[in-house]
Amino acid sequence: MTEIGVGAVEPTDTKPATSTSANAGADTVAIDFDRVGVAYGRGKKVTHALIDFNLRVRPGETVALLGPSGSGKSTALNALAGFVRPTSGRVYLDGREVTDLPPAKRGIGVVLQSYALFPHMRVSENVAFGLRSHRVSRSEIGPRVAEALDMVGMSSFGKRLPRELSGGQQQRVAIARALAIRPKVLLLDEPLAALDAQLRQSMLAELQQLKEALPDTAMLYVTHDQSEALALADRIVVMDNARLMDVDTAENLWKRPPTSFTAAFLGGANLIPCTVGRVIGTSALVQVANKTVNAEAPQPAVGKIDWAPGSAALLCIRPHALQIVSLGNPDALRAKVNAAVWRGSTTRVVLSVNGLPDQLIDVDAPGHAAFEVGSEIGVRFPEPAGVLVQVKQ
Amino acid sequence: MTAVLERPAPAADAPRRASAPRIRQVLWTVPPLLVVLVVAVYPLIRVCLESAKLRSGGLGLGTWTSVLGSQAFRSALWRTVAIAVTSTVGCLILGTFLAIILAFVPFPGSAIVGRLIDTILSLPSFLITLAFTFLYGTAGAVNALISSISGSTSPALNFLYTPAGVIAAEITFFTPFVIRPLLAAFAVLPRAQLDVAASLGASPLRVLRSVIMPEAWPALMAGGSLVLLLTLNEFGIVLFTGAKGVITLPVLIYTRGIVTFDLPGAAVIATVQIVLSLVLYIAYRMIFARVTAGGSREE
Repeated sequence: MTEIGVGAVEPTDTKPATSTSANAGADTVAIDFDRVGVAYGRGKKVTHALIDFNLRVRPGETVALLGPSGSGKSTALNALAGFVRPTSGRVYLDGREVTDLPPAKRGIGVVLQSYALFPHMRVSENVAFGLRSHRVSRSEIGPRVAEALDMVGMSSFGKRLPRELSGGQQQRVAIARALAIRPKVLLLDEPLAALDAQLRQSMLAELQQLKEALPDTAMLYVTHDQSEALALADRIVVMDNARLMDVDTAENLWKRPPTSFTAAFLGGANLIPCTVGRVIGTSALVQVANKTVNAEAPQPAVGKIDWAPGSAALLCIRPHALQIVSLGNPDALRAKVNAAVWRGSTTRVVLSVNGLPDQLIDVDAPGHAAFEVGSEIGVRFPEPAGVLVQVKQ
Repeated sequence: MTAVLERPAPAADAPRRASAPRIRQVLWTVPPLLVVLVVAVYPLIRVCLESAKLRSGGLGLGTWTSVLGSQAFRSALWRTVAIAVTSTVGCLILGTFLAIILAFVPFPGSAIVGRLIDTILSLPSFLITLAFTFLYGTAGAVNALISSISGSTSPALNFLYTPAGVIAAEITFFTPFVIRPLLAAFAVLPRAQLDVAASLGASPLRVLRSVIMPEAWPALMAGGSLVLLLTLNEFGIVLFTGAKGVITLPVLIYTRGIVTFDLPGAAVIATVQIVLSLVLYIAYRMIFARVTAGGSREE
């Protein structure tokens, strides 16, 4: 069934598989963006919404496009779905070029933030819409609708109208509708953004279960919420200013952010200017705020970063890794409290550290800690202090 | 006990305080009510009373039975309804087609076309007929062009003074009344719904049929009801075509009331026209209320 709508159209072009392995399933590429660009307007009024975007997603893999508003993540998704036409580059699905194919011929499941349920159709009719469009036989539609609704726990809501459902229920129906056509690629554009915090958490858990239940479906998940990306994605693509900034596994990006933008956007890390000292392997001594501390000097999988002694770098330290200690502690750096905001499980303390002019440091202290603004406290770097990030050229 | 005794005092004040604004409200409604009664209701009542007058001078149903039983009335009623329904169907088909193109098939100058449609709404209906006469009349531009090409001396187009001419003019004039509410309905249709429908494999025609039109249906019905109401009462277009064979109820009222001075007979036909219009207006309001209620539910 997955081939319906897709298989009916002859591919306009095909791209060779990335590997000659006999086990094609493991090496085929479900989604392939090949230097895709999207621009609006003409001449001097041209706006580039996506620039030179390259990405490959394997079947069964979940990739999150993470970035601030206007970074181009939704444009990338729209280019893949066929909602916007790339001005440059090519888009492939399962090795078949789909750049010029209309959305109806791509066979992609799409779930949007606004749910986009058809308000005049009942839940079951909404879910059956794609099946009817693909001319699935009437006898098959009923079981397929029931299966899709069951997958999202909405079996008993088939006869309701969308307006009779809550936001979370509507989003479940939207997911069921997208899954009913059994797509090989599922696109989710900020699917949880319209839900309240509690519902978002429960839906996030359900999406994780759904991901397990669809081992062959490639998912592209657009979000500006890093917690969603970290929870769901096998790999995260960090985007900014219409460009792909970094792409790696969630763990790698979190632990060793390749760029200062990723370090700041993913987890809001402190980026403290420092001077690189002696480097041994991936370990370095760095000079920061008149102290010498240990730091990790990571090397990328491809290429090499030259952490030359005496060069400037940024020391990336997560707020929760820093410790607030008494001024008497021998490792303490003297700091002044600029602000303290209780966030439930932690208190975010903003500090001005002696020796780091024009630099505010965020520290997450556990619990509801009371800090007087203007008071002096000690702050201690962890061991190793953090990860080095190259200064943006 | 004291407290119990003291309670009635404020309680007695309360109704006085509440009644003062109520009286003011009633007083405020009197002037507009009087205006409506004098300007609208009284003439209608006079028309109804006039219809009950007999030629002999008394009151009775004689005029009603003679008018309603006449072939001229039945023919005019049938023609009025036939022209109104045909024009409305034509407006709905043409209006839907044009609205879909304007809303979903962007082309250079679509904004200008939209504004032109708005302009037609502000013109008097007889101007359309006048324009039709210049274009399609026996001595109109189109016939002159055909004659110059074919060399024929008799006009090739001769439909303007027939019911078809009236219907063509009414469709031209009243189609914007269908387009405008449809464009408004299309404008609030979320783009995401169309995108998702397309991604689910629906062809543009299926998206139109299954997603767009069901949601625009109330607006289409409201526009259609309004056009039916207006075409039923249309006088200027029918009069200006000067079609001899096209006698509608408004033209019959004019003929009886102004040309032959048969005021009771004209009043009977006018009363029938009023009833027809009121029934259609109520239907229009009900559909409009449904549209509004549907919109607020979605919010």
